[in-house]
Amino acid sequence: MVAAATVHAFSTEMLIGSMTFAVLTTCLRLLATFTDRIGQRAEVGLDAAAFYAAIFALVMIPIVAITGNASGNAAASPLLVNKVLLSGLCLGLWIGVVHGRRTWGPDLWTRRSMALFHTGLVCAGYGVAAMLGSIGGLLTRGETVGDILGIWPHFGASPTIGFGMSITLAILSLMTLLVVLFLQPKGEPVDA
Amino acid sequence: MRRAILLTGLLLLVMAVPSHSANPGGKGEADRDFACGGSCHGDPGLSQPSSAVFAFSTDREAAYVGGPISVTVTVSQMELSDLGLIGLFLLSDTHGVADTPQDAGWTILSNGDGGQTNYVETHVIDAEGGASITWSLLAPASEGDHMLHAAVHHGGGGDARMAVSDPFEITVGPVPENMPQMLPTWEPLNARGLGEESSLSLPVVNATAVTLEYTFDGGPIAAIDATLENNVWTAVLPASLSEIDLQYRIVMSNEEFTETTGWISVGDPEKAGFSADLTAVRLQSIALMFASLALCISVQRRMARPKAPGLGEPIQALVSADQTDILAASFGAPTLNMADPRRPEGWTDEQWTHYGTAHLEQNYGGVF
Repeated sequence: MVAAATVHAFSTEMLIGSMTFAVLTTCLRLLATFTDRIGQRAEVGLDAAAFYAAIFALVMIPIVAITGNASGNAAASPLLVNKVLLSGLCLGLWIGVVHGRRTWGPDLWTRRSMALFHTGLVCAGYGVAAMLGSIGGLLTRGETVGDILGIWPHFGASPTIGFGMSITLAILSLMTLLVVLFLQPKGEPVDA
Repeated sequence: MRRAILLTGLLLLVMAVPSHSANPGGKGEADRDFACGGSCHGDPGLSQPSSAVFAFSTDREAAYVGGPISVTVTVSQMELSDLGLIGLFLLSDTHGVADTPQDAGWTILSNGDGGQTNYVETHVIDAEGGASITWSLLAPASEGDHMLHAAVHHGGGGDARMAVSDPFEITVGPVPENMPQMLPTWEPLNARGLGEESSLSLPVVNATAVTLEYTFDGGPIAAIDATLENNVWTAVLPASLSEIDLQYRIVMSNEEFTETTGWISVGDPEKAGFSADLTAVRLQSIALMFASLALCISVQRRMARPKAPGLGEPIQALVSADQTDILAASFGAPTLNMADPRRPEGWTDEQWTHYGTAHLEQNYGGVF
């Protein structure tokens, strides 16, 4: 039988690999929006690669969260509490990435503002994933590569919010999402 | 030539990756099996041998069922990593799973480091002097000879290393009649904040007097008599006003016997006493997910809205549907032929629809 921690490490590697690929291809596609150095075929390929890598990363996030949850008692450490919190943020941002690309279509790259926003969102999602990996490094090795930067947070303290306030926040955020989904006019795919 | 340089560079980078010991920063104190959950050092079978030497000692020669006993494990002469960190286990067996002392019926009152775990991490400055950890235990409920083992995980020479001690035998005898006893249901205080007084409830049976003894930093021992109210002994442990090593023990006596628990260390609550409401944390995580998603979708929909007409531009709504159709039919943009022989091989219909016009304009001067 393989321990949950081993499956967690494996799924994390898959996740980070696909996310890194998605970020690289997205940034290259953004470059193509601002320059003519990249050919038409490469542009098509980069966009598709970024999209499918993001979908794969999105599928892997819950698997990583579940295996991580099974590997340790998250309630026993502020680092693990922060990991659980950042996992939710990471999932939200990557759903946003896939939703954006699906809503706007491949022609989103013809509008610079959209291309910049989409790339920024991908980078933000990757940044949160990097913070999650950094916490994992602190837990297992006592150090993180982020320390090289000098300003990398260590997440040694976690917010203390009671059950009542937590459920209020969850309900409020769900209502916000429902308002956005059902009351805000839907976006249309970008037409080049 | 470029490719050769690139490949050589990549090969050198791969070869430059050093083989390092597993988890040099430790895993944190916890109840851990010998196999350490399959993740501490990868696997006991993968670790390099260690030159560590173990020594056991106890505060009494034998224990009785449910009775207290303190076991001190000293480990020395091990290799050390740069951090000098070692992880010491107290085990009831070396099966790899379900082999903590608790699995064999022992109760750990204190691990000497402000917790109740069988695995403790500590830094070693000098391998000759090594490190000593004292576990304060309550014996299991079955009489007989019980074995305890110690194991150590540490680094050294760039490798993960581990060693296991020989078994150490403790004889657990029957409870002498009328012996004062601390019940195994007792949950000792192991951590608290600075400036906090602690009221301890002590489930002691067969005692006519109970005393709380405590010491700061191994100094003189002070004593406070516990009071009996509603069949529960209660004593108040004074507050500590600075980060100082505080230990206490319970002395239980009657006309025939005097019995003492092992010393129990009171540690930092942030290290040993942290406990979050996991349901609340998960709800907060869900809230963050919903909020971030709502923000993303909101911005994306806003940016995808068609632009409002500017001053002087005709409002689209004022143009009838019929006129629009006529205009589109008369002056519409040339449409792409899906079976166009100029369509690159492998392009899907979606890609051809979106990028086809640009492709034809770029390579053939236009759609026609």
